[in-house]
Amino acid sequence: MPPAGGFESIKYKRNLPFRGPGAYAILGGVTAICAYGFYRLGKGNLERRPKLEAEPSDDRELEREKMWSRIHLVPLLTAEGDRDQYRREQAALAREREIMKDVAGWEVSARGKGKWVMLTNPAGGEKRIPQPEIRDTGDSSPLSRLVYNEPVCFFL
Amino acid sequence: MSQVHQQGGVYPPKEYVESAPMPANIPHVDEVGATSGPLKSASFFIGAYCKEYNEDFMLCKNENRDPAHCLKEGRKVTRCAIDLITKMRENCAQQFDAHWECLEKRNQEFYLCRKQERKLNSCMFEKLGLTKTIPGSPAGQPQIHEVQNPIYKPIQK
Repeated sequence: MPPAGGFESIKYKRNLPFRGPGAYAILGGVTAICAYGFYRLGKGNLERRPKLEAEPSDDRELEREKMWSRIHLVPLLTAEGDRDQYRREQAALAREREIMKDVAGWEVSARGKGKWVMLTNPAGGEKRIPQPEIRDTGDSSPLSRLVYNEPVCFFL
Repeated sequence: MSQVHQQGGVYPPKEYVESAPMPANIPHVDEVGATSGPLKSASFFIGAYCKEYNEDFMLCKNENRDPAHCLKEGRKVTRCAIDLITKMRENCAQQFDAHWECLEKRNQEFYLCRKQERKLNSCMFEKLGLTKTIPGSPAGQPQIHEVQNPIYKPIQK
């Protein structure tokens, strides 16, 4: 039998105060923080990100700065390398002339028989071979002497 | 072509040094002799100061890739660069040294050395009238080296 006056009511209701910001405030806050973070990320990417096939309209400023820094140095470095290469070639020709001086009809130098080609892309393998109509196939000089491999800026 | 050597892999164990001098009919020119840090620090000023010589050289190289073809233009390029670096050392030696030493320490990244770079840039403008301009930067905005509060900046001050 129930006690006199009935049972006590069951305590199921929340008996704790609500503290701190409400749910929507937290949701809104997190969203705002994330939005700001992605905004900064996007701005940072525009500042920095390298892109392989960059177009003039792309705003990638740190990469552009690096590229132009290198581009301004290319003539200087190429000039120095050319002088060195020319000196070495002349020395090699002088050696050849000295060694082969007793061979009648020997034509010194394979030089000038091939065409100097510039590689627009180091990965472009088919361009490594000098043009067939200019290259003397009877000439046994190594191809590497006829192909001048220049440092190429990928990002242009 | 390359022989397999015992110690040096496919490369010869010792680098071959060509000791023969340049043929006497080629005029002598000193090489620049600067390492990568100073060159990178000076690059935009080289681009500004030696524009004509650099463009002339590259147009010449465009005619013919043969190293012998553009020796004369190349000497002009090198002399101009030496001239510029000498002037930089006469006028802005302290700022120049500070900047390229910073570049050496900071992985040769421009954005990590803006403080030193601004001093160098202002000195170069005052003394030599040269400015750093990055071609192709968006018009109407400060260029990346002039942005006051960039996103990418050194974490260590």
